[in-house]
Amino acid sequence: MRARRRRRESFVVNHPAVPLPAEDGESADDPIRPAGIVTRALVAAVDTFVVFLLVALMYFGLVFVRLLFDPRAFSWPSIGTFFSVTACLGVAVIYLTFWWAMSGRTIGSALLGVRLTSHRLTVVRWAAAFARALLCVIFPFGLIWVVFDSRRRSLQDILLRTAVVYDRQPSQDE
Amino acid sequence: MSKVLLMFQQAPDPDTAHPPMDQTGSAASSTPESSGHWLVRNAAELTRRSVGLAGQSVQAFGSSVVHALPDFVAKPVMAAVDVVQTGGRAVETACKTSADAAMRVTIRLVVEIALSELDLNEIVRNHVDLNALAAQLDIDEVASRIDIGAIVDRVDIMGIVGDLDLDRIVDSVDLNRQINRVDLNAVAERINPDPLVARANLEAVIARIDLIALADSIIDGIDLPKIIRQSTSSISSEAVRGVRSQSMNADDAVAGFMGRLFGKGDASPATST
Repeated sequence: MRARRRRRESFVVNHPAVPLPAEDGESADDPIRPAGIVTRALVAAVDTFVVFLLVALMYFGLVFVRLLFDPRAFSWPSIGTFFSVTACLGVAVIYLTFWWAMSGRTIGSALLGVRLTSHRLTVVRWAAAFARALLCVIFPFGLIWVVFDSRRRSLQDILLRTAVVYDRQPSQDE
Repeated sequence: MSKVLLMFQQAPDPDTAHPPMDQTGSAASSTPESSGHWLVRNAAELTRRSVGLAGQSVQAFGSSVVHALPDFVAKPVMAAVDVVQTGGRAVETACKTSADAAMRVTIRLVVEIALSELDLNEIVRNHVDLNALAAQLDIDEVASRIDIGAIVDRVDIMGIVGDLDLDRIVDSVDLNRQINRVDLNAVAERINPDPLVARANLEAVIARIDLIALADSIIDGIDLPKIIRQSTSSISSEAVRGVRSQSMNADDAVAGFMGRLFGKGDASPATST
C-alpha cells in the first residue's frame, strides 16, 4: 500500500510537466515557483464559492427530501447560524482534504493553475491534507503571511512543510 | 537536151557552200587543236572534197557525153535519168521514214536500258544542286494554283476518323508530361470568366441539385458537437490562461512591492526540493 502510494506520488510529480505558453514568459525548463498572495487569494475565493454552493445544494436537497416525504407539512426549514457555520466549515474541510490528498488541486487551484505539494513536491498525504484544511478553515488569515515570507509560505505551509506552486498548464488539446 | 545540161550545171553543189580550203591541208598547223580531233576533222573534209571532185568530174563527163550523143540516144538516156531520179526520191523518202521509225525505236530502247541501268536519284543527288533550284522556285505562285478546297473535298475525313483507334493513341500519350509543359497560371490569367458566367444558366443548374440531400450529407459529415466543444474549450482555455497570467503578474508585483518595502528585493524564489 505504501509502495503504491509512492508510485502515484512520483507519477503526479513527474508527469504534469507541460510547458507554459510563451506569453507567460516561462518555459518547461523554468524552476517551480511558489504562488503569490493574489493567486492564492483568488483560489481561496473560488473554493469558498464552491463550498457555499455545496452547502446550498445540501440545503435544497434537504428541503427536497422533506417535501418528498411530508408535502403537507412542508415549510422552509429554519437552520440556525451555528449549524450553518458548522456545516460550511465541515464541508470546506472535507472538500479541501479530498482534493488536496487526491491531486493537490482544488477547483480553485485547477482554475488558477496552482497545486499544493509537500516539501518534496509530492502530493500531500491524507493526514497532512486534513490538518492543513483544518488550519485553513480555522485560521484563514494565515494566508496573509505569504506576503511577508521570502518563499511565499503561509503559516499553514510553515507548520506542515507544504507549498503552493504554479502548476504547469495543460496542453490545449486536453 | 539543153535543159538537162542546164539542170546539171545549176544543180547545187554542196561543196561550194563551204569555204575553200588549202589543198595541202596546211590548216592543221594554223590551229592549236589536239592531234586526234584534227585528224578526224581533216579526214572527213578530205573525203567530202574527194566525193565533190568526183561528182564534178562525173557531171562534166556526163555533160560532155550528152552533148556528144545524137538526139535519138540522148532522149532515152534522159528518160532513164528521170526514172532514176524519181525512183531515187521514192527510195530517199522511204529510207527517211524507215530511218525515222528505226531511230524512234532505237531511242526508246536506249532510254529504257539507260533508265534501268542508271540510278537517276543518285545522279540527281550527286550532280544537281536541288537547293539552288528550290531557291528559284516561286512557292507562292505554286501554292496559289493549288485548290485546297478540292483536295479537302476528296478526303474522306469521317472514314479516316472512323479507322483511328483513339483509345490506343490516347494511351500512348504521356499527358502528365504534356501538362507539366503548360503554364496553367498564364492560361488562367488569360481566361475571362465573366462571359462564361454570364452565359451559364445557374438557375437551371441549381434547380437540378437536391439541396436538401446535399445539406443533409454535409451536416452528416460535420461533427458539429466536436466543433462546438473545441471552440468552447479554446475560448475557456484562453480565458483561463489570461486569468492565470494576470494573477501571476499580480503575484510578482506584490512580491516586488513588498521586497522594495522591506529592502529585500524581488521575493520570487524557486521552491527548494
